[in-house]
Amino acid sequence: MDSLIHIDRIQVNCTVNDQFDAIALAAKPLLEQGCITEDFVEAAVERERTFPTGLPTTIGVALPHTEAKYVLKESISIVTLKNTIVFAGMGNPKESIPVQIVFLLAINNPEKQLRILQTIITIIQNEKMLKKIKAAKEPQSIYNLIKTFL
Amino acid sequence: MKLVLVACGTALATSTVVAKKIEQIAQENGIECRTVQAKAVDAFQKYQELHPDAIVCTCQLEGDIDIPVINGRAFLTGINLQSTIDQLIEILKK
Repeated sequence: MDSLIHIDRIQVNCTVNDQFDAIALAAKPLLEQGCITEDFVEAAVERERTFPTGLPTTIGVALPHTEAKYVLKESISIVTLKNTIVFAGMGNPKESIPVQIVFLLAINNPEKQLRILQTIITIIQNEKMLKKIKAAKEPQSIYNLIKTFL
Repeated sequence: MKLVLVACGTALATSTVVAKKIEQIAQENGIECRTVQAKAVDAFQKYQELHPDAIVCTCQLEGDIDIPVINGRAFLTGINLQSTIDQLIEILKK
């Protein structure tokens, strides 16, 4: 399994107040595991305001991320939300996208991580996969689902 | 050789995936094409320097751009993907 995604970087059925809360929650395990700098969250939130990452897939997905300098160890955190949170649309900040799955990307070498990035894109284009991820009751299920795509 | 400028907020995650897809689509259609990635803030300068044939972006762009600009979000969501591909091929075949 690609080392960027770990069971302890997956949180399911979470409740958050807003998109920025969702980013902070997704960043928590990465911060604890020394994958990102202390100011990653602030930078990712700021970037989300300027260049939003919400995507209107069958179940809305957001892919927050920020500059490479805030990444200590490349990693990806996944959060599924109990409630729906509004993110602005990628390429269209005025668009409101209801999001239930967040992939927080801590990447500093996209060429090297192309395969995992492409896998995430393949998954979010797959309605069945999104439904299964959303319905997952524990991190292990999501980990196993993604593993089948790698 | 055609040149497509691919822009996103950080030139880090989404533009890499989108750039590879564009290269793949061009190859499948027998079009010689390379891509250059740019951060949104640098995109206009790169456009002026490199004179690309098209810009594909997953972000809003500022500045006066007189070449086709394609919203690259379809490459990520799969929504309206075929029409985006058709639009790109039409530009690159010119």
